[in-house]
Amino acid sequence: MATTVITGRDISLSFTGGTDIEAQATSAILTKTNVRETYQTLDGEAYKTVNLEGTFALEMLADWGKANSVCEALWTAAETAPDTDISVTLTAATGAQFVFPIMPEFPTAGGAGTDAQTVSFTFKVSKGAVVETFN
Amino acid sequence: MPASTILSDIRQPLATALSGVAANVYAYVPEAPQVPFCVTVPDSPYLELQTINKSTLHTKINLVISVAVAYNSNPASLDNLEQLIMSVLAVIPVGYTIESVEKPTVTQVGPSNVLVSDVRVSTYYTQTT
Repeated sequence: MATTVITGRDISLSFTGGTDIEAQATSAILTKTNVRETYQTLDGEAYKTVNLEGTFALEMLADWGKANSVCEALWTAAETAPDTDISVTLTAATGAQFVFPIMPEFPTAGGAGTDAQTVSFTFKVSKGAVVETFN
Repeated sequence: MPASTILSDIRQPLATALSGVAANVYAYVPEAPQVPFCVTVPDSPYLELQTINKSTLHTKINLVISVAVAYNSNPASLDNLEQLIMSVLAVIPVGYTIESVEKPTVTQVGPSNVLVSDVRVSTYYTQTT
């Protein structure tokens, strides 16, 4: 059977609000983790998952000043509704879609010398609530 | 046919921005350029896919602006080239990243020698339909 290889170019990504994130994003990584307690019992180790957490790491080219700017939309959201979720849809490849809420963060502004201005985020996924659709 | 092309969205705007410098500006390689001149040509690698997704083509484009002056007297030619490079760097438009300026070399163009230096720039292009 042929080996499956998917790349970052197989990803599709959208935010609520419809800003053109795909033209700017250079990396998008969703991480969901089990917060697992470990207990040392007389029978050995026992485990209990007590919580779910998630983060969404996004790296992008800054787009300040552009129509439908992602940076400006996130800045406004972080300022006016910091505790209101933004829904993100990430499709890793056809047939594997993840929908999750993130809390808005302020983007950084500025850059170095002649380099392209970039912005890196690590968003918290609210309650680790990732809804996956595999088909 | 796409609504935009690399020539119309990237190379021609760069050539237009450069039109204010005291040199002949070309958005392509002419057969017989007149010195002093600036020619915008592809660098290597030319196109680099750096953004996610492939429903639309987003790519980093690397270009070289070859800046050349007549090579008659070495001190004067170098001074002329340095002044032309500085004027080119001053007018490169927003959205283009200046990567580096390469050392001057003597190159034969047609029957005459010219002193050439390459200004490496890059920018990002999104294909629209």
